[in-house]
Amino acid sequence: MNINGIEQGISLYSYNQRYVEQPSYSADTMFEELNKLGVQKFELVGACQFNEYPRPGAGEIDRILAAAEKHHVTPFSYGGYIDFGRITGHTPTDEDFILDLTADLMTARELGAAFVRETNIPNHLLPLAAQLAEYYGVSIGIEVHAPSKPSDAHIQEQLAAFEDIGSDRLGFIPDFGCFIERPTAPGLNQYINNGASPELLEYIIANRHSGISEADLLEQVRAQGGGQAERQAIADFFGFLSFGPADIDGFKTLLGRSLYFHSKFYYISEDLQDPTIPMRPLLEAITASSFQGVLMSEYEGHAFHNDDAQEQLGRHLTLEQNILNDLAPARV
Amino acid sequence: MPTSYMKLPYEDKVLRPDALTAIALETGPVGFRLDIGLNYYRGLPLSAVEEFTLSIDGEQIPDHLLLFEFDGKLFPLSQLPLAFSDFWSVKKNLTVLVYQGGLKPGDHIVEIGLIMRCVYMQFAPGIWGQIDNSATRTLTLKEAA
Repeated sequence: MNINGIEQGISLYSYNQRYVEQPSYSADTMFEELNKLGVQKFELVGACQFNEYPRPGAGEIDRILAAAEKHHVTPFSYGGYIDFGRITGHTPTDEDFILDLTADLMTARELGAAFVRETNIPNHLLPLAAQLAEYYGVSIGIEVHAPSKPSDAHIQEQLAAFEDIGSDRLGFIPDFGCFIERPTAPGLNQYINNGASPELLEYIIANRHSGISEADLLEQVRAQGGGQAERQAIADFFGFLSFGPADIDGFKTLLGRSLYFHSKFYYISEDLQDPTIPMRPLLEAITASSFQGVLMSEYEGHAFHNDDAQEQLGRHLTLEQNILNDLAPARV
Repeated sequence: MPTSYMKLPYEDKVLRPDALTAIALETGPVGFRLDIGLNYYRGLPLSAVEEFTLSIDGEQIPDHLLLFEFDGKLFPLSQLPLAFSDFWSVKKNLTVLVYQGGLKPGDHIVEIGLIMRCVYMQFAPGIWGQIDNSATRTLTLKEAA
C-alpha cells in the first residue's frame, strides 16, 4: 500500500512471540503472513533471526533470500545492534563499535537491504560511519527509542552532528514507542496476571514523573509489599514503556533527517484506535513534511505475551491507511 | 535511563517439559543433561552469562560439576564469560551436563538461577542491564537415549 509516497512495511520482530516460542516457526512462515496482509517490504533483526550474530553464515542469508524470493517480499532494512558489552570485563573502545557496525553493513548489503538500523554509535564515530555506509551502499539510521525523546539533548546533538557531516547516508529512525502517553490496558493486565497489585501499579504510574528515581520508587513499592511483578512494571515504565506527553514538536525537528519510521504499537482496539500512541498527530507531521518512504509497522504486544500479531498488524495497517487517506488531500 | 532489569514472558521455553534427560554409560546411570532455552527476544553471546546456579529437588549442584555443551564445544562455568564469539540464539539450547551419579526416575524440581548481561545496554562504565533468565519447573526425567 502506497499512499502519496508513503509505503507500509512490517518489521519481522512483530512475529517474535511465535518465532521465539515455536521451534518450527521460521522466516518462511512470516513471509506467508506478509503476503496475507499485502505487504512487500520488511525489516529483519539479525540478533533475533540469525543463529550466528554479528556475522551470520552465508547459508542463513541464503535461506532468507530464497524464502523472500519465493514469497515476493523484499528486505528493506536490517536491524543491527552494537553489542559493545560482548567481552566480559572489557572497557569498550571505538574498535568494538566499528567492528559491529561493519558486520551489520556487510549483512545488510548481502541481504540487499538499503538501510541498517543501529541503536548506538558515538557522535565522534559518525564521520567514519558515513564513509563506511558510502562504501557499502547502505544508509545508517540511528533509532530514536524510548525512553529517549526527540527533544532530548543527546538526540539534538546527534541531529547537529548529522547536519555538520552532511551525508545522506546518515539519519534517524524515530520509533513511535517514544510517544507512549499512558500504559495500555493489556499491559497493565499482564502485570496484574503476574501478581501485581492494581493499587501499587497506580502508585507506580502516579509517581513515574514525580521526580523520584527508579531505584527509590522500587524501594518504596517493596516497602508497601510489592514483589517481582511490580519490579518488572517499574523497570518497563522507566525503560521501553516510558510514558508521558508525546514530544510531537521534537519529532518535527527530526523529520528532515529521518530515513524511515518504526511505527511501533502495543495494542489497536477493534474500532481501530491506538489508545497509547497518538498516531494522527505523528502522521500529520510526517505528511506535512516532504518525507517519502516507509512506515515500518512494529508490533510489540508480545512484551505482554500476547500471541495476536497478525490480527493486530492488520488493524494497525488499516488505522494508518485511514489516517493517511484522510490527510492525503492536504498534501501537495 | 534504559530498562535496568528484564524478565521477559518466554519463561516456559527456558525449561521445556522434555529438557531433563538421564546420562547412562556402560556402567549405568552417571548423571543427567538439562537443556536450557533463552528467555529473551534476541540472542546473546555466551559470555553474557553472569550468574548460574542449578538446584535439583532443592539441592544445589556444585560449580565444578557443571559442564556446559554448546555447538559441540564444552565449557566449564568459569569459561562461559570468555565465550564472546559463541552466540546463543533464541532457537538454540545451552545444555548443562552434570555427572553426579544420576537421578532417580520420575519427577524432579529443577531450579536454575541465570542472570545475563544485556550486552548493548550500559548505564555507566561496567554497569550493564541485567536479564533474568531464571526458571523453576517440575520435570520428568527422560531415559538416556
